[in-house]
Amino acid sequence: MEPRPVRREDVAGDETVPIFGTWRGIYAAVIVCALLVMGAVALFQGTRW
Amino acid sequence: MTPLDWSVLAIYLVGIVAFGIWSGRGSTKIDDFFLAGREMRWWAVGLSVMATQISAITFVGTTGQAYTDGMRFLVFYFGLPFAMVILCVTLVPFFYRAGVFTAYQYLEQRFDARTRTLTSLLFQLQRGMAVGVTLYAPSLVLSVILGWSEQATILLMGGSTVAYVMYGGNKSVIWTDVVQMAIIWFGIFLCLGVAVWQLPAEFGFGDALALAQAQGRLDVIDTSTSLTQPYTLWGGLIGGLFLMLSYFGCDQSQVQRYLAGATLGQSRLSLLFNAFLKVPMQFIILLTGVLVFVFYHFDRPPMIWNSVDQARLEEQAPPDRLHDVQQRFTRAHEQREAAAREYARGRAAGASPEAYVAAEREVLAARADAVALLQEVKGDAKRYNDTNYIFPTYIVSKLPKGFAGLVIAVIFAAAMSTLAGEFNSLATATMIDFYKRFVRNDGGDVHEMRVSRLMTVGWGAFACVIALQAGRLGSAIEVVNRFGSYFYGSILGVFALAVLTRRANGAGAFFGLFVGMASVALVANFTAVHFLWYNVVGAVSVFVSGLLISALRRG
Repeated sequence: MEPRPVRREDVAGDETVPIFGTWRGIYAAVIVCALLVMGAVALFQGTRW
Repeated sequence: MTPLDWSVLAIYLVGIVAFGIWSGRGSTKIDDFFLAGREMRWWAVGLSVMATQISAITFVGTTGQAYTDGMRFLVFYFGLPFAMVILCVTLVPFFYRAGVFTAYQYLEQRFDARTRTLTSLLFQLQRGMAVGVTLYAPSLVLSVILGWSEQATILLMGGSTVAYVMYGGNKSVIWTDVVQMAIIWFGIFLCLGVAVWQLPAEFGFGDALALAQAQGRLDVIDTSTSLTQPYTLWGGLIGGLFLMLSYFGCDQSQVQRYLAGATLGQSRLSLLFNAFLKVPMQFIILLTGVLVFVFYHFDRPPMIWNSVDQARLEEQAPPDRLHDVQQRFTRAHEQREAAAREYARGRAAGASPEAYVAAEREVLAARADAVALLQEVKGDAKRYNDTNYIFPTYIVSKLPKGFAGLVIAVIFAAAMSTLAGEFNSLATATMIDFYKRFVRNDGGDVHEMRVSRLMTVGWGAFACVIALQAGRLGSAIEVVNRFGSYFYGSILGVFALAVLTRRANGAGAFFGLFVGMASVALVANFTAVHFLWYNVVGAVSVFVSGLLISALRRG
């Protein structure tokens, strides 16, 4: 039986999120960005070129 | 390809192997070898995650698909950003804090050894066969394009990748992925730029898009709620979400990339980096395929994209029938070119695209004649598909000197980055989940490094053997890939049981996995539901049945 792996602890700095400040902020940004991209794709498809 | 193109390709191949070996130096423990010392920054891991996912066939296949069918494949990725957020909140912290090497190792901590062993075994079975296909498919295309034998391209691609992965492990994989991703991005923008630049002088980007739109090539979003139709918005959002959760959350080839992050935050950021960029990147790749489609309105395309098949057709078909087919195709192409120019000139004044659309139909009918004649010559009644040859043919025949070599290098880069991640993750699963678990756990660093390297070489050799035999193993490989689609979502269900509820136990996870696979097998064999939904079926079945079995076994 192998020994149990050594747990990794969260380290200071894990909560530092570049640009967006918090994890909640960056998750919201990802979702808003994904929706905007889908909207842009719909607009691209709907535009009469 | 000119001597300059060959030089560019040679410099890439030698350079990437040398860089891979150099960047992986100093690996003395399996922690370094499999998890890059757990000290990587988010942008490097993020690029590696992206490079592992974008295989050569994604690159040449999706551009070819955009040429023939348009951009609807894009919805396949719509669930990805949401999947990344869900994984950052759920699975990634569990994996990180557990300090594991493999995703399946975590399942032993949460459930039991048999659940871990079964999931790891399923991963190795499916990924092991799939890596053979990952190697075979681009090798086949490149062998035709470069005029080499299949064996030569397979051994060159497989051998050079094994060389640096065996030496430097995950550190080499990640750093070479960073370089390869840079080359891939450069190549994508280069192709897009060249495709626009090569349009006739009087044609602008808007004209090209108008032509593509008239042929339905810009259609992406289809709001149909049919479960049998491929690439609907809902299939992409829901089915795609589950597929991406399975791939990025439960497939060791991806999990291992972000376990190399220096902190939990770095691992999360690497996935979110992909959440931001993946859909736009895929959009650009597909748009390039669409522009190649427009380009070939003004430059006669080959009737058959696979040049070996085209040559066979010319040599073996009855001359009078071949002449008729060629005449029809050339006439249809000329009519389409004239109709496209006419439509582009008149579209501002509200001209109808009807004649142009009809001309495209005639091109397709003429090509269907050529394909039918080819199949007659080959004595092969199977559905003929040469989509993967479209983009490489364009690259080699139409790109300026030097650029063709670079874009062929991009195809090599896309293939090698995926192979590297897969060799490394397969070796990790074999070493950690089997060798160290059941054979020997106290071998010391030198022994473990030696065995890990041997396993990397073993998986590389296995991939080469599968790829070399792939022509003969065709249906067997299909069976294995089909089998893979049965358990992909089911494994996601096991991980969902692990992290979303405390009520599930080992029996629920283990037997629930079989219920999930059986459910997907039933749906796949007795309904016409599109494969994107299989992962939803598998994950939900495992989760529900796993909870029920857990309750029964507890009672």
